[in-house]
Amino acid sequence: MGYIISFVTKSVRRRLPKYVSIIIAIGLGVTLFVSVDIAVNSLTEGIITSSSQSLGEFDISISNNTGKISNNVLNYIRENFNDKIVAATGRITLSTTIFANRTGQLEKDIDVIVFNTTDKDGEQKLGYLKNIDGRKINTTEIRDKKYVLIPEPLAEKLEVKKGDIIETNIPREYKNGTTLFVHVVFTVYDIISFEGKATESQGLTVWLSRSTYNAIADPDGVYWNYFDTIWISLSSNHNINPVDNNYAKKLAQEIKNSLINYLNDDSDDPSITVMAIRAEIEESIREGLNSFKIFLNMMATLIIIAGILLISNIQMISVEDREIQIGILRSLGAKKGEIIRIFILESVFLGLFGSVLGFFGGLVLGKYLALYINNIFQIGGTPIIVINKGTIITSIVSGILIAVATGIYPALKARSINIVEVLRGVKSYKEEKLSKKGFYFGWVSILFSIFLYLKLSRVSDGFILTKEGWRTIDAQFYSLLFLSALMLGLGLILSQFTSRNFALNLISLGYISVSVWWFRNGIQLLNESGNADKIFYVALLMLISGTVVVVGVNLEILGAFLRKTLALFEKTRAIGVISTRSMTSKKLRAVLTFSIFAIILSINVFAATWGVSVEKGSVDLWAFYSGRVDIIVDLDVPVNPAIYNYSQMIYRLDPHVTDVACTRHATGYAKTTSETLGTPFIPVDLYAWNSSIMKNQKGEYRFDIITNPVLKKQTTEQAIDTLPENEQLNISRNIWDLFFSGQNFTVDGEISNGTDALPPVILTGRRTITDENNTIILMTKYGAMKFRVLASVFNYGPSAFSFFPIIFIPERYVTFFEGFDYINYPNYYFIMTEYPLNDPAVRTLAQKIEKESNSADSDLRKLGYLVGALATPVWDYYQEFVKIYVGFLDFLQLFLSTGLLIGIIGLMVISLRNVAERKREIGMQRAIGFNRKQVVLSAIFEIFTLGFIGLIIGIINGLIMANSFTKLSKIDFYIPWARIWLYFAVTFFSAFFAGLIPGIKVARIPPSEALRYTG
Amino acid sequence: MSENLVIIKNLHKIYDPEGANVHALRGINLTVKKGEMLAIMGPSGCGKTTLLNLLGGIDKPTKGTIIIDGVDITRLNDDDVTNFRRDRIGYIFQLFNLLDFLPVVENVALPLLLQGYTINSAYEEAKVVLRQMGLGDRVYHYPNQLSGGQAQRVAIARAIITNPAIILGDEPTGDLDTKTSMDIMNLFRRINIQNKQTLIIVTHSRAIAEQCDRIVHIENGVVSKEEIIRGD
Ligand SMILES: Nc1ncnc2c1ncn2[C@@H]1O[C@H](COP(=O)(O)OP(=O)(O)OP(=O)(O)O)[C@@H](O)[C@H]1O
Ligand SMILES: [Mg+2]
Repeated sequence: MGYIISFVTKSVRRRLPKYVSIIIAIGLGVTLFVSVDIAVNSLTEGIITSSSQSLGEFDISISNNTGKISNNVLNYIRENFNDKIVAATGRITLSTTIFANRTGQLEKDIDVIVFNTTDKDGEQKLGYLKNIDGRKINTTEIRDKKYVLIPEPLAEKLEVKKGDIIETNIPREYKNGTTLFVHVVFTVYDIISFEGKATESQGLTVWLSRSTYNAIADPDGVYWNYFDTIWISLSSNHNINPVDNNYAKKLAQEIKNSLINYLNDDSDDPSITVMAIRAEIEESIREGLNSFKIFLNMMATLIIIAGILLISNIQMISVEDREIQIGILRSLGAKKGEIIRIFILESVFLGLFGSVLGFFGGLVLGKYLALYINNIFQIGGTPIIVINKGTIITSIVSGILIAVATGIYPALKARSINIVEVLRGVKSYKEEKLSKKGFYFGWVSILFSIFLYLKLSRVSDGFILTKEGWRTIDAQFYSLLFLSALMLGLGLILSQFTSRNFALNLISLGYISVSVWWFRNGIQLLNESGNADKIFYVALLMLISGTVVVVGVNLEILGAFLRKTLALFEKTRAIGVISTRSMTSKKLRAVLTFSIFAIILSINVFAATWGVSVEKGSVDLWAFYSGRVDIIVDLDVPVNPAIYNYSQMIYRLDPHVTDVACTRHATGYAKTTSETLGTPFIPVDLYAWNSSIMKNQKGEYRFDIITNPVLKKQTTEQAIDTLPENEQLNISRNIWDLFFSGQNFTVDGEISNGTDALPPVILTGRRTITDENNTIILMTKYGAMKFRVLASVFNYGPSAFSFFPIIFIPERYVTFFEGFDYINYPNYYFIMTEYPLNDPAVRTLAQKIEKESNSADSDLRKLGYLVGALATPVWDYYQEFVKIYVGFLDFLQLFLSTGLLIGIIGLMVISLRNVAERKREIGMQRAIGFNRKQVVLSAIFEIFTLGFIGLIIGIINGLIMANSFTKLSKIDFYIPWARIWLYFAVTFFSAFFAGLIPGIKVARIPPSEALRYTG
Repeated sequence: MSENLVIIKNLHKIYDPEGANVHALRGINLTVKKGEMLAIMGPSGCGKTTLLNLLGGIDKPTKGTIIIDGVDITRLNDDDVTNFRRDRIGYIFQLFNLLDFLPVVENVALPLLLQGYTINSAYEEAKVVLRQMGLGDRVYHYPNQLSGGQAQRVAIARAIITNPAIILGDEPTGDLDTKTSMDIMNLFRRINIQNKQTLIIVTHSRAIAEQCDRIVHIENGVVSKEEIIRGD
């Protein structure tokens, strides 16, 4: 063992540059994993902190179907769970627009918290409100007066001070059950400091006493004993005494059971909802970010594959380097096992160094990534950097794994060194057939493909490799895997009977054809929505490995072509011969080198191309799916058209307005009908539609919001968005016809008048809460009610950014829901103009509309209306979407670009190595008559070629993939020339310097010296 | 006809690896006539390879001049001496003569490519020379597929292909058996007669040296003895 150590230490000293490169490569790999870990952990903690902060000190919420929960329930909780909870209180929360009189500022979607100022067992136990001077606010002083308290964040936004006037609308409930907004003026009694329970909803709240609210909203005292939600707190300070999530969830369940009992609710679908809201939010954030983490790690893995190629490359070189030493060691009696141990031991050392480097690299990059992601997704705040034990373990384990994984092949290679040949200095260049191992591996591959075939026949119902067999995600996934394994197996077996090159060409061309076919056609056959990442990943790997191998196998042909091309010029003739021959003489090394670039650039070019295409190429698509609506106006208070004709005002603002349609929307609650009967209702946005909104007097559709049918009868063979536009229109209009037909539907989607028939709804596509039966439960005034989903809408502007799902209901059902009283007073307008979607005039019009509605001197205000209008150009929804999407793609490119660093190091190492081991040959070239410049140029050109092969493969692959995506999404294809030039420049300069520096170094050595070099 | 092609005057070479002065050449004076075939002999380490390197311009002397065809090559800069070497000198090394990543034909054609021949004409020329050397069937082989004698003949082919004024051979028959060595010497003689080229050959073998016109003995970095084998 002693001599092993000394061998290792001696090698380390001699091979420092190579080791440094390996350590950097491992370090970069580890950096990626560690930074993903840190970034995602930090983000998770950051988001959890801010979202749990906006819950104040609450842990559990209790609500019911009707939105009115009785004081008795609150008392019941206080009596029965006194020892388990810190406080319980009942509140009403309204979402409205606040207008600041003095400054003219307006803020939409502000929560008005209606609270009981004298509630000693509830509110006061949750902590006091303090004002910005640090004094405790005596909240009882705002009782019965038109006073409100405003936390600092909102006060800053509105620019209001103590004593200022604010205005808002508060819904007043009448005895007959209808609701109407009333315009109220309040005085700001004090500004609350942003701490404790004032942090609820990020401090964008207005605190109003219950007694004042009762007088305004419910003068008849009908609902004085009711709240919309009962809030329970399990800790009066979650920062100091956090609450265990499982405990909170268990307690919520316990409370629910006890309440069901108390309320004698023995229905299947209890109307009461008890939710451990803090725990649920935290868990869903963790879950959501975890999938993000998995995605990033997948990308990191790709880069690490590139890193592994680099390290293997360097390791292979060290084996070649030490062939003679190993030969001597072996002849002196070292056993094969000992040779392996030398290499593995070395790998572990390198891995440890790499881990340490990667850990610190990860700290830096992780922090940066966290900031960047924060920025893209507009999370806000500075992320708190979280480093835990897991991070450290990640770094060490990944470092050593990468090192050992890359050390094994060279170790085996070193083990099987032929002592006699090595010591005689025999080098063999001849091409052999793939070894017996390849043959066996071929059979293993065939066996595996049989296994995949069986799996495939199950997931594709026997439709193997037929059109039907490419419909589902799983069928596509296994089809691709099956084809990969089959082609690999057949190719390897074939290679025993033909030349290796022929077999490899066949395999790789097969891989390329299948993957390109998939990108261009196969992907279009997919008729199942869901996460198709895994298919994409397999196709990507097939494409990259296919292109890399096919170029590698035919490197001689490429070399000959370059040689001929360079031979056209007198000056480059000899250089061409030297550099191309030198490149092809070490084929494996060359292939490993350019494949690093090929992998990284394939993804980078894909992301860049897809990014610009989404950014520039989808205006038409967006216009089509939004029914050519240009602006959507959302009013927070419905306006009586008899008093003020809002549509007329819009027509008046701009003569280019061609159509204004309007409807009503209100908040509702929905849940899925699937087996998770216990799932709580979640808030949704309900939109009332009647056919007069959609159709003109002639009965033609005024605009077409395209739907994707889910009724069996309407489902097409193909996904609807892959059809030509007019067919999509026809299908979509049929759906709207059904929706407006006044008919009900069975669960199976048949028109029916039976008692079991369900009324139709249409969902927006992005956040579907429907189950596999395409039914959904909505909360109505009469309890939970089932609806049949007819279709979903994709690319409908508002749904892209609405936090809650949007559900379209036929107008004949509005009486079932709260918030639709005075249905003829619209609060939602669709505006079409003669302008193109992205015309700046559209934005100007939107701004004018907002001004006409919101400003203090508007006609609406003069009529006593306080309207918070939000006029959004559909293009803005799109831009918003594009901003996040392209931001993410940019981030991805940046993240992947760390891989370019690996590629650059790879070029440097290979170049250094090439000239070092060819010192003698270079001396000889000099003796024959090569001057220094020619020597340097040969070195540069060889490295150049490798870099550019990678670049070209990357560009072609990236463009193929992005092109297929644009075809699929029907957006125009744009080539990101700027990015491509950037990658070109990066490759150019790194290859240039990688070749230049060692080239110059060796060219300086006098040829007589170089000739003495024996390797 | 007996003009001096090479004039070496008071040539010194001191190797100075980390201060350990190795005085390899200590004042060599030598002239070589045009068309002469000269053998250089001497014990190992006496400076034969050093002398040849200086003659070929792949190293610089510490002191002294080397005038070849009227040009003092010790005064040329690197690019000029490289061009001079490319055009006027053919070099055959002591060991490992060929670029092993190039096929035989490219090894031979390389000097022509450097001179600006097109690929086709350079290859054709190389094939002609290789055929003359009896290597017509080895054109597309790689050096490691050749025997020692064949490899040496390829090296000679490369050295003569540009029709240089001087061919320098550092033990061109070093590792070869007597029969092959003699074949190669005959080849040299043929070249010498056909093209009137000057040959300077380092050898340890008396028999080989006796094939030349003159033998120069070097000992301790100076010319110790000269023998004329055959006169003009
Ligand atoms: N680069 C160098 N650095 C230091 N010493 C050198 C160098 N090159 C040659 N020498 C020394 O110069 C002397 C002459 O070397 P040279 O190679 O010319 O000998 P040689 O006559 O060709 O010997 P051989 O017959 O063994 O080839 C030797 O002592 C050698 O050790
Ligand atoms: Mg010598």
